[in-house]
Amino acid sequence: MSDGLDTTREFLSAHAPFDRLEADALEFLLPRLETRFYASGDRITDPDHGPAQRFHIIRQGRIRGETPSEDEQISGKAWELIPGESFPIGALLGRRPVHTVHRALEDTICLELSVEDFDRLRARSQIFNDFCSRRLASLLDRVHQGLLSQGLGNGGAGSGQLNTPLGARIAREPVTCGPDTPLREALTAMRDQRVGSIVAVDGEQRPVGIFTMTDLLGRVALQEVDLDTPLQRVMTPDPIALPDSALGFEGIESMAEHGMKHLCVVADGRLVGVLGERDLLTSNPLTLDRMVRGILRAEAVGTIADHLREVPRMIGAVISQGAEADQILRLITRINDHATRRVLVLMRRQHDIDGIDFTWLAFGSQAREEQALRTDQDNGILFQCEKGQEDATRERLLPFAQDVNKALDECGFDLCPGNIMAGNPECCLSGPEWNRRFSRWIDQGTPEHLLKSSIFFDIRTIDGDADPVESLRSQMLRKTAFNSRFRRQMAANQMSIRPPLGLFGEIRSGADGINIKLQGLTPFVDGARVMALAAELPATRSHERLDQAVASEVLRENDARDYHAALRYLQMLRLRTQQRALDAGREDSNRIRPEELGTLEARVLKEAFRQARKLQGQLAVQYQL
Amino acid sequence: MIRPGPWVFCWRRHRLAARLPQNPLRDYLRHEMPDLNGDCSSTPFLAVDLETTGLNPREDQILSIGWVAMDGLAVRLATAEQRWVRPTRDIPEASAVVHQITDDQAARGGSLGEALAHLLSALAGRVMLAHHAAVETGFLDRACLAEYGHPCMIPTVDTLKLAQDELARRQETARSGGLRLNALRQQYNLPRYRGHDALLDALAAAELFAAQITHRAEGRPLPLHRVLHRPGPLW
Repeated sequence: MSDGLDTTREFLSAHAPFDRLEADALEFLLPRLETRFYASGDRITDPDHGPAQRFHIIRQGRIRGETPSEDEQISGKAWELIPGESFPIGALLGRRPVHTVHRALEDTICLELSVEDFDRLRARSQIFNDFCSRRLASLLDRVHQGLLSQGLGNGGAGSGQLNTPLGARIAREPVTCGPDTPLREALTAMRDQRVGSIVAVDGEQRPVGIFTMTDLLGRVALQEVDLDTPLQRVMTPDPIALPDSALGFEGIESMAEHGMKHLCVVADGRLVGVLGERDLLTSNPLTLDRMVRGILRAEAVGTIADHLREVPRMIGAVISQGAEADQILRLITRINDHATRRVLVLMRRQHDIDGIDFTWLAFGSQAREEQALRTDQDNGILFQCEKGQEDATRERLLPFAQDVNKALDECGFDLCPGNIMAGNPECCLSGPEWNRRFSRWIDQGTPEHLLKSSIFFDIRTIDGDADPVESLRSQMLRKTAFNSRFRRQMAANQMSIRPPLGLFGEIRSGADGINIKLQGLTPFVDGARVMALAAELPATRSHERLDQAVASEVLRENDARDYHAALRYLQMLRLRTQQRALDAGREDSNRIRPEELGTLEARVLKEAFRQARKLQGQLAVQYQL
Repeated sequence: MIRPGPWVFCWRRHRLAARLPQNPLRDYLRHEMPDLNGDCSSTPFLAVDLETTGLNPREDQILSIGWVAMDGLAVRLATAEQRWVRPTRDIPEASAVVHQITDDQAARGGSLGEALAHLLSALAGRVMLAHHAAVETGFLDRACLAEYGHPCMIPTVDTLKLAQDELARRQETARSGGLRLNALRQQYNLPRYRGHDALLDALAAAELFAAQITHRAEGRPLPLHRVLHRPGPLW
């Protein structure tokens, strides 16, 4: 054997997954390859030729995958493959004929492997096998790793920390005592062990309270409490406790949720360690806890706005520590929920609305817990009142609601251009009024109506009694599940925004790039909503909707896995884009330019768009659109 | 149309095989030539490239031979092979610049006879394929004459000649340098390779040939004798 194969080796080493192939697998692969030429227009695979026999890697040229029938081509199932990409993996794995004709779009040369050698290579190479069985996901892992090593955001330290279990982060035995221990003894233990917190445990080592240095200042020293007082009297009861298998990220999330600085890690209910926020977010000087507490204590809207301005920097740190996009969006939503609740508290003081029971609702992205760094406000009010008192109650609530809308705008949540805001009389309704409104949409809505109202179908309680909202939701779902006309129209609407792929599957980008939110995320969000409405799924998060769709057997598990991966990638891309736009002070925070992404990422983006198209295609078939 | 050349060529191969003593050339000749009326897309080929110290077979020497087999127009990288030949004289500096084979490297090569024997066994039952095949046939004939006392009779296709035919058919003339291997490959959207490595050039010629045949055949069978360089119609 000679080095004349170097050119082929060089080529392979520039393309995933072959660039990571184990050395012995590469030596196995190289001599088994055959190069083959296809003239422009030649069919390379054909569904009529029986089970696929050859694995093709495009060496040079372009290939189009097309379904045999013209109709489907128009529905946009054709796609384009470029050098470095390989096909037909699914058919080879499944020992079945290809579903699509692969046609050379120009003179093309392929490196090819027989199906037998393809199998042998899979058996030999973990990396290649992984690539074949979870193509999109394995490419995404690579992008993710790349982002981590770039140290995106301002943190830059460590990698993947937030996706490791809490148990692995515990550095030392927890310092504990009984709840009846006198303060003096507890403080001595803290000093001797050099720790900032002590956990009170019961006889079975279950945490019942936590006491920290901050508590010492506020609850003991300044209050001049006697040091013989039992710890029980000054500790924070029922501390946050998470199992040691929970991920670092969940820890961060619960701390944000409760505005706490420490959390207890338990195994089978028994305390095994205490983690501080700094243990989880090592490189982050501006702590989540400080922000949440700051928001909860704010006495003016301006203060809340100041705190929220720190969110992008903090999120940068969280991204750099390996959190998943959906987790980050949830975290942002949590912080925004706190801000909204605090604004409600502040505004309540200025308005006489005592005695009215109402629930503050979020629609759209806040309801789905998928808020990104820049977002509009979509909210509403559901109030309780005696029959006939609706208008009078509304009159009292509206000035308050309008002030809340203005305050939220001041905090950075732009006013909703579609006027879906609690200050709008149309969005400030009693329970029965909301119910009638939903019924009207479901029973008589025109497609345009539904397009505008679709975000109402993502609904979540932010503040106030959640029960009326849940009963509204269950009534709504019962209606949607039984109204096929409505579901069909919703499905048709979700087709109105197509992923930006050309007829041949190339990414189509206009002069000012692609709107990642509208063209990338919307198909998934809308698709998941259609499934939720059709199958009576109570979830509001898109990822959760997909999971529930699998559980109720309206979606195949494999498909769901791809949709999850694609959606996560698009969400992360959007976050990064927004962050960059904020840094540069640009307004167009959802615009991306595919040509600025690397080759690997451009491939992933294309694959994500293809998944969006697949989802739309599936719904189209299901609803016979 | 009666094409006497190929048949005369076959007959002379048989006669030569019968006359020769036991040697690699005889073993080669005793293998049947591929069917002259057979379709190119199912004919076995062996793409060959020589690196030499110059272009004159009488004076210059073979430094390296690279080859790779092609079956059904698929280039089989498993068969790729390259042999270096220890020259009997020093390599002129001018040629060393081109193919970057230095005296030291060449000194590690084997004898011409060994390389030739390997090449002939790889060629058995195959048609030789080369770019500007006159160089390959000239040097190989010369080498066989020296080793076995008789020129070898290798059926050959020439990608350069096929490109010229194609130009003539379209009544165009070649641009300067337009018939070089890399220039021709570019026409068919083939990747650019570094030139002047025997095996790489053999691979390059094989891919070019596949592209030429695919385009010329347009899905119909293309008999081998229509593209042969040697034996020609009249040989």
